Amino acid sequence: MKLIQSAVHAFLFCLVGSNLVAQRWELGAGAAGTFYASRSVSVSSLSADAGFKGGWGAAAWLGNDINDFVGGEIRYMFQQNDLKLESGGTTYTFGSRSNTIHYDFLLYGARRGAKIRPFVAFGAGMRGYTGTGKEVVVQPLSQFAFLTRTTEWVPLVSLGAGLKFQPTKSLSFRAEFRDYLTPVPKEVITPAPGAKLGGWYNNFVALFGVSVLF
Amino acid sequence: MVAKSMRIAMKNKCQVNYRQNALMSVVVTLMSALCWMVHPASGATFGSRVVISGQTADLALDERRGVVYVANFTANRIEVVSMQSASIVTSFNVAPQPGSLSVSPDGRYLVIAHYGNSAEGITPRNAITIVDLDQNQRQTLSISSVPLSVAFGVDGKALVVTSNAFLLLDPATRVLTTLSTIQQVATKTLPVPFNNFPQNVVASSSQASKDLSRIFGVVQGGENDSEVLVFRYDVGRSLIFGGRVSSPPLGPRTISVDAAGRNVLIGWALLNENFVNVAQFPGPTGILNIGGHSFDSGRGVIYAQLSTSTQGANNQPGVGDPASEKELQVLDAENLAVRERLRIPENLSGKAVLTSDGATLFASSESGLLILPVGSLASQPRVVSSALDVDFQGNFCDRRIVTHEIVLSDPSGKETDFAIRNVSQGITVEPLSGFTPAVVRVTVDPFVFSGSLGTTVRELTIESNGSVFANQSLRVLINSKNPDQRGTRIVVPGRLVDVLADPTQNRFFVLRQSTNEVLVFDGGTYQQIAVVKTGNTPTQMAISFDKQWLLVGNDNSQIINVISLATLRPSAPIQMPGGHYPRSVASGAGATFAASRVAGPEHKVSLVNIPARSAFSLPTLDVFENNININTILVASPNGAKIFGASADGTTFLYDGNANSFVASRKDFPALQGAFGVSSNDQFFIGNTILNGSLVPTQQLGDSASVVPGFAFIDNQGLRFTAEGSSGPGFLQRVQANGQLSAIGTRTVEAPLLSDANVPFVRTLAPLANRSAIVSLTTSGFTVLPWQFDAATISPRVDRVVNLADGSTSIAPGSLVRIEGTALSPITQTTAERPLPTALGESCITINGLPIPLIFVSSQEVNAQIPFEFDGAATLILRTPGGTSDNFPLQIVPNAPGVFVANFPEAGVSLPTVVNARNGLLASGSNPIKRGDSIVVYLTGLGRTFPEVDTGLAAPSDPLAQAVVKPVLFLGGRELPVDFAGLTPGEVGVYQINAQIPHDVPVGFSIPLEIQQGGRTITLNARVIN
Repeated sequence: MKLIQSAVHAFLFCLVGSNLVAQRWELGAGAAGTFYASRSVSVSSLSADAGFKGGWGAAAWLGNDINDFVGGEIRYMFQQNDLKLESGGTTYTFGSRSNTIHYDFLLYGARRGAKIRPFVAFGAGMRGYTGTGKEVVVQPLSQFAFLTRTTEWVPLVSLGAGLKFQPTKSLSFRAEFRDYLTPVPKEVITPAPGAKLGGWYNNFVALFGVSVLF
Repeated sequence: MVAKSMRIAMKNKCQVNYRQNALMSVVVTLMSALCWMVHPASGATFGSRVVISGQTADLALDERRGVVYVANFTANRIEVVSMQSASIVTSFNVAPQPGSLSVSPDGRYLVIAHYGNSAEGITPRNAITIVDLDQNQRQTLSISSVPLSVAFGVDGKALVVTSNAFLLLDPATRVLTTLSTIQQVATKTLPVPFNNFPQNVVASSSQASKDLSRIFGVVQGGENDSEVLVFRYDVGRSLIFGGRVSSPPLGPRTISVDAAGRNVLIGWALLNENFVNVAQFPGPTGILNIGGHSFDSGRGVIYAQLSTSTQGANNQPGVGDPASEKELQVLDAENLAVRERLRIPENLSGKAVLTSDGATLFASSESGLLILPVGSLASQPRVVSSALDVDFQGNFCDRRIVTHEIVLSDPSGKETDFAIRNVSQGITVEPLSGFTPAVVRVTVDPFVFSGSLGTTVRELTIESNGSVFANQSLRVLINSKNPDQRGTRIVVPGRLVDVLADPTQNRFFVLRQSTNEVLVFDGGTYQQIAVVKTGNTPTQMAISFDKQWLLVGNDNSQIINVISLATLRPSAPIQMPGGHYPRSVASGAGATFAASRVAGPEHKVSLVNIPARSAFSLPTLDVFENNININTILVASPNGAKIFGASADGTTFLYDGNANSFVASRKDFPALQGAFGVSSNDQFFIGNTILNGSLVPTQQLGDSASVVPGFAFIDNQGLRFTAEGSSGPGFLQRVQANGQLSAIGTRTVEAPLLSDANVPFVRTLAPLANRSAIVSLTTSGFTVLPWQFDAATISPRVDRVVNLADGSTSIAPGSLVRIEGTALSPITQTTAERPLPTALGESCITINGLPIPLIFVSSQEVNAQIPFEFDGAATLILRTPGGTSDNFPLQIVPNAPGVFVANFPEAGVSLPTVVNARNGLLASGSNPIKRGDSIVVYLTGLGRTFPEVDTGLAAPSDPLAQAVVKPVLFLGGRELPVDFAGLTPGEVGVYQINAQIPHDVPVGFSIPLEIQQGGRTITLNARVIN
């Protein structure tokens, strides 16, 4: 954790240089509703949807403004989305959660200090998927994939847009929508021998948060 | 050493009885010696007594003060006994003859009824005393009638039953109000001759339910002890009477009520709230002053002592059975089935009351009070056998001396002494005595019993001086048979009295009288699948004509049990008329009848209304009198048109459903007993004779004097099952439509159950509905015979012998193997017996002449264990009643590991039995092995072990039997540390390898797991993850 903090400080320092001390910082937290677009896993002519059920998330971030229109923030996010495997009317679910850490640049449509600041965000990071369900000897739909109780870290790309509302000098609210893209975690969702499962998962997150500015 | 300790124990016991008087020391010594000579085997007793120097009439608990009030009838005192110290802490004198007492719900008042009914010329002293326990004040009220019993209700008023009225006493105001008057009952007058007791004099009792909302009571109803008046008082609402004449008298003359007030035990009869006799003790003597009982509703039992006779014919009381005295029984509260028996120091004599926490039973007894800590029964020393029966299945493969082991243990964990008695010739028991826990080896020499060609039954007695429980019996069954004898014995402990096939499903019912149960068996596996309680002493079963219900008649319950065939759950029973015990039931298309033993001069046939759950005694059987012999059976034809009756006095009678009338009755025989049956073609079988549609004897089968214990009609043919004795073989013959017996009969593995004077009619044959087998009640339990039991049998043929685990052809000493072929067994059977038997069903196998243990037999497959003794070339031979297989050559190698496979047919998946120790589940794609885990591989064929384990025996857990040649395991090329490789404790022929998964094994979906032993390598695949 200490290593991460040091890295973040170094990174922010590189971004803002000697102006750092002049910048305002933002420390915030938010809650989110999250959902995924499923991926198809196929065996011969049969296929199933492999992915995640809708769930919830919570995030915390630390950011600052680099200049009037550019900002940056590092974010940790926890998500609870059960794994699911679905085919022909049969659905098998398996407990799952993820831990994400990523850095994003924020490009604002209004100057620093404005009450309402629309923004777009893009960045990258890592996500750890963890299967937490109860193991069984033979799971349903195992001809397609195995949902596994293990943890796997994968790279992550973050894209999004949102709106910040600053009612006071030291308080800010935000609403945003993100698309997190990760490759399929094949140790957690393991395609059965002969099954094809690949590509990236789109994880859509609608977040509402509050920050303190200092 | 044990004998010495027993002597010391006996001496101490006798000394205790006399220790109270120091002057008796010389007598003590002499009596001690006498005790040892007379009762060398009597054991410890349960409970302690408080001597009151008088006679106890009644008792009441005062838990608030921690005392018991004991009414000392003859000393005119109330003894106050401490619950804690079990001693009299004080006594107070009261008016003469305190006969009944009760404590008010708030614990303030003690009300005492004084029995002062004196003979003419002596002033009566009938009175009621009210004791204010808080104020320590007493007031005695004289009353004109004789007070018989007193019990408080929830309203704080005492119900005082007198010889002519039911009175309510408010102890606070001392006001007596009349609830109801009754005709003056005849009460006994004082003085009475010597050797009379309060229970004989007062002969009345009452008791409230736990919540005091109901009071039940019994009142002497006349000069004769057989006349009583039973009543129920719903406190503050209604008083309901149930007049009753009983023979023998309702003794002991005491009463106990279950917690909810739904059932009441009066004397020897368990009645429901409407006074229907749902069960009674078999063979009661009716003695009023011996015995007592109390419900323990929390545990669903009744604690009781009852004076019973050695039940003779027809449930008539006879000579008092000394064994039933000084014995407390723990009984099922629903049907009085005996669960346990305990020795107590003296007889109970009246009221017994359980503390509210169920810990202690305080009971009136001969000396005064007996204190029985029933809540600690589980921690009392006892000796429990791991089996009720020890079965020795002889076979023509194996005439060696056979040993079975039983474990004697004390569930409370104590070291309790035991001694085994009645060991007869041909049986040896080692050790004969000792302390629990102990493994006892029972050995039988088959040659001693080989002449019987059936099953010889011997009973061993397990005694214990240190145990308060009664001696146990251990049945030893020794079966000998020749190759031509058919059938597979299934051992069922207990007294079985009837068997009946389910007409709609492949299962059958066996009636076990000794435990008051119907046992339900699957008709394919012959495994017991359900147990349903009946009334007391069930006698015969019948299926209702609509095939909805199984009906069970009882000899000691005035109900017919009704069991749903759909759910195998009991439904509301059919209530018989008062005094009617329905021994036999038959259900036809138009009517259902019960033949009852009636507590009265004539025994009757009743018409049963199943939907209404009621029955009434028919005034006449149409043109015939309704007066049947006590031993009468009824049976309906399969098409429901006829119901046939036969009596032990030789009478037969017939009900015709079409005529709705009893159409025939004859008496062509001086007496009748044995089997009975009815076909749908107006054919009737009884004794040894076939009767026509007018009940005229048309065909006698065999010798007129012989009794046939088994007969069943199948279509218009019959099966006749005979035997010369219970320990010999049975003999099954077909009876053709013209009444001719088949020329060639078939000898069976053991004899059918034989009838006797107590049970003159028996049903021992039950052809299963799907015509797969015929089940017969036989000496050991029941025997399963193939439907075509007399068909020409073909010789067995062995095609392959493979490793049972993986089907490979390599087999090792100790391996479990699958023998494939044809006609390997006439029936399919699995055994859970340990050690494994060397004959199963009707098959046995030898390798190099040595019988091998069998696990499973069927026509095309037999599972067995290769003896540890063999190595190299060997010859296997399989024998069945059809003959002997050709020699089958085997090559036995020292090691041949094969991993078992678990099949999941729904998922179409088969998995090797590699268990992930992390979660106890089989390793699989969805339950992968993780680095750092441990795994357990279950397999067979690891060969010999150290220490050695006898073939057919379960492997020990201490010490573990380790494989002599250690297997080596590799996962992804990385050798796994092996913690253990050897036999799985408790299993036969099953090995296991416990191994660790290092952190550097490769991960992947299909990592090879190799098991190498003795030059043989098997490879599995496993998913491994981080």
